[in-house]
Amino acid sequence: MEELIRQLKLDIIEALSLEDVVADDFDADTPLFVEGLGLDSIDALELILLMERKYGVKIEDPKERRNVLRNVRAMAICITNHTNTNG
Amino acid sequence: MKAIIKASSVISPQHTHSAEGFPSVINEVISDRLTCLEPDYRNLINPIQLRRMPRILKMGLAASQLCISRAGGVDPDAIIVGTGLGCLDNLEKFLLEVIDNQERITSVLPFINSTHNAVAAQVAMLLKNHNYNITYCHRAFSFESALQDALMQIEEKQAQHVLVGGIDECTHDYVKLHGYLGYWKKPLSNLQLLGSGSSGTIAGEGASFFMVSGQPDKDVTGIILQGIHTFLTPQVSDLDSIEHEITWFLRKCRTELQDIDGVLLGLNGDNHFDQAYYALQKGFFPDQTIYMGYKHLCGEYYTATAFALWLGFVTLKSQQIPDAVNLTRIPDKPVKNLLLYNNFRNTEHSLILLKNGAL
Amino acid sequence: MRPRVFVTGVGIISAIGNGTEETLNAFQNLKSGIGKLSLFESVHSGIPVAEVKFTNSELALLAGVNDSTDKFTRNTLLALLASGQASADSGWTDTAEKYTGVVMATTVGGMDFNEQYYKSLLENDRHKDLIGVLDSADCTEKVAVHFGIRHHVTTISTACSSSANAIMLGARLIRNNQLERVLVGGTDALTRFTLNGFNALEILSPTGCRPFDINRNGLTLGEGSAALVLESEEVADPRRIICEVSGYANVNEAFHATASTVDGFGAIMAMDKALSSASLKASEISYINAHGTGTEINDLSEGNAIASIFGNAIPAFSSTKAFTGHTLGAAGAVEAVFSVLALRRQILLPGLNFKESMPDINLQPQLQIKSFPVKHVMSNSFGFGGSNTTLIFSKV
Repeated sequence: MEELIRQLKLDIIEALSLEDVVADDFDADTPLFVEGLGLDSIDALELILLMERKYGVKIEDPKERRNVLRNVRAMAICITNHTNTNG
Repeated sequence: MKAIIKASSVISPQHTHSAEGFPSVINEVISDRLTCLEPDYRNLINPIQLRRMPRILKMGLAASQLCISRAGGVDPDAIIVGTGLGCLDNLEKFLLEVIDNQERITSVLPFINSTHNAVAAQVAMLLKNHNYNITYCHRAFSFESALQDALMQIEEKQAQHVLVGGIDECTHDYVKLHGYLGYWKKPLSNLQLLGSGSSGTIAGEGASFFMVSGQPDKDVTGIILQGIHTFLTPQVSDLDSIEHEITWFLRKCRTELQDIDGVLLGLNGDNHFDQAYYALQKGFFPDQTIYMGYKHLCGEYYTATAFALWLGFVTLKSQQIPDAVNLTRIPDKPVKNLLLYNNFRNTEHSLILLKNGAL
Repeated sequence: MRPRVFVTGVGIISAIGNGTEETLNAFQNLKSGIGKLSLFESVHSGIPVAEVKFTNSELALLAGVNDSTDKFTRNTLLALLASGQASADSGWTDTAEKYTGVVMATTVGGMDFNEQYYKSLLENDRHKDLIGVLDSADCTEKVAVHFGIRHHVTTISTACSSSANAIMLGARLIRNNQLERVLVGGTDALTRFTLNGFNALEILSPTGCRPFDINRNGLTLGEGSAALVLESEEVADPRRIICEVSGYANVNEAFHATASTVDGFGAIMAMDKALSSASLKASEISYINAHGTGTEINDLSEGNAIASIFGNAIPAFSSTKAFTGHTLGAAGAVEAVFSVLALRRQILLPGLNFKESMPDINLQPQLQIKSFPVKHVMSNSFGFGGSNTTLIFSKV
């Protein structure tokens, strides 16, 4: 899980071009939207694409999305659950 | 319809962004393209917004911010941008994802940024500016259309201050494709471009912004934008029709040919397309006309006339014609009326008349 | 003296027909142009779109293009067709008889060719003849050449408000005595580029758009072109005058790159300013042709704005995008032509796919074509980048 969290942070930094941010600047529980990293709706779309393209996880329900994207830990748990379900 | 140019700001392949005047050092490059010397954007744009921006957006935003601050921080009543190709880099990026990745899209941002009005829209968003906002994208008429609209806004009293820009970026693919059409010379020093006696030119890019303002009745000083005119010659452009259009335009601006002190020519070193300029120099403009060229400094691109406007503006203000752009050896004289004439591949022609109101 | 601006001719080609008669028939019969993707291969072929029902060769024939048609993009062919109709409608025989310009608009220009040939072009110069037709200016320049127009030739690109802005610029050029006559319009062909872009933004309807409906689920992409001939009152033949361009406004919401505010702040500004420019009160508007894309955000935003401007007296309104799809750069002109037809025929135009209104706003769009004393029509076009443009057309 810790390895996935570390990788996800790097993925997020790359996907969203957060040039001045490094992995140590935020942790698994830092809010991603509004406060914390302060991402917005366009970033949300990019993260959804990242989850789908790299991790094979498709999240269509808006409520579920808000939940999964709230921080890196939630994203990691979702990916792990998906991998376990699908073998 | 006329207006005053209050301020300007240019990001170009020359050292032009840090101060408004003509740079003291000329950037010489040996290449088939000229690339902009860019400022440190972190000083000008919020880093959180910066991260999402393709290069052309950064250039446009930075140039706009600098221009606004040089104009005294005035909030523009209109934001008008001309760009021949828009956010070309991001358009190419998204296009290649659609084609190469079999429509598996990994990022939505290039699509959003690829809309031509991205620069004008971003400027408005940063300034929280709700006023008139528009983008023109018609090749070598893009900037002229923007300037024309600015004059109309002021004439209609819809605007007192208009932020007008001309911006284009040069990409690797653009140079490659247009190379097939013989657009470019083999790599050479840009300072050898004009009068090089061969076909082709050198690719360029730039972001040039101006604050154009309504002229109060009593205030006749300042650099005055007297008029703009464009005409298309899609088949063959003959000298007679060019001369006729220039004559018509000057008459409309209530200016005599003999009153033109200097002409800024859009010579680009392509010996085929430069013929029209040489013919005008020889047989049309008065003998003591000063001629200036600029595309050896900024390269050839659709909105290069915005760079020319900046050059005309700083020349009229300082009353000094920089050696680097002076094509004639006529002794210095006051330059009151400056005509800008550009001819893009004998198809799109534009004329801009500037006047120093103080003289 | 600022002359009045009259519309003397219109032309249109869209998913619901070639020309005004076919278009009106579609409205009469409530026949939508939305259907299955057939123009090109795509992994998104399950998403409904609104295609113009002609191949490029057929469009070339209809437009009277004699040259080798494989050098004309679909985008440009559509523009030539619509422009030809508009000029014929206006009785235009000789370009030189009036000082004439052209202002067209598009969002993706020759992208239909670009996406077909781009990879090949990066590899070799076999298709180099096509490089010159890929950009946004090609449609305008081909139209200019066709009509022999040399002055005031330009192209506007402001996303979905593009051609509304073209019409506004054309009107202003006349009012500022820069032109006596101007051909204005917009064009956009359906492309994989836009289909994938909008799909990535997750705003495409999987079922066909349902503007202003509580269960709306996104927009449907369309394609087409529309053109209008605008003339100064000083040169217009009174027998050719259809209506007047009586008001216009262009504002920027400056809120978000792609979304609008919930309360419709930008839309309110645009409609309010357009009414001011026409010296009209809201109550004088007979019909609104809404932007109404069918996305959750736009329709809520625009709906709130309409409620705010018109209060308890909301006029008949509809979004015609459930007929034509969202034609992007052509939308402003397409819907301007619909507005002009409403005035010409004295009818209200219907929307489609509406069952139940959005909560709290209770907006009920017009659902049948209906005879009505139409005096003033408002047309909204709201685009990415916060670009909000409203036009008003009036009976003369």
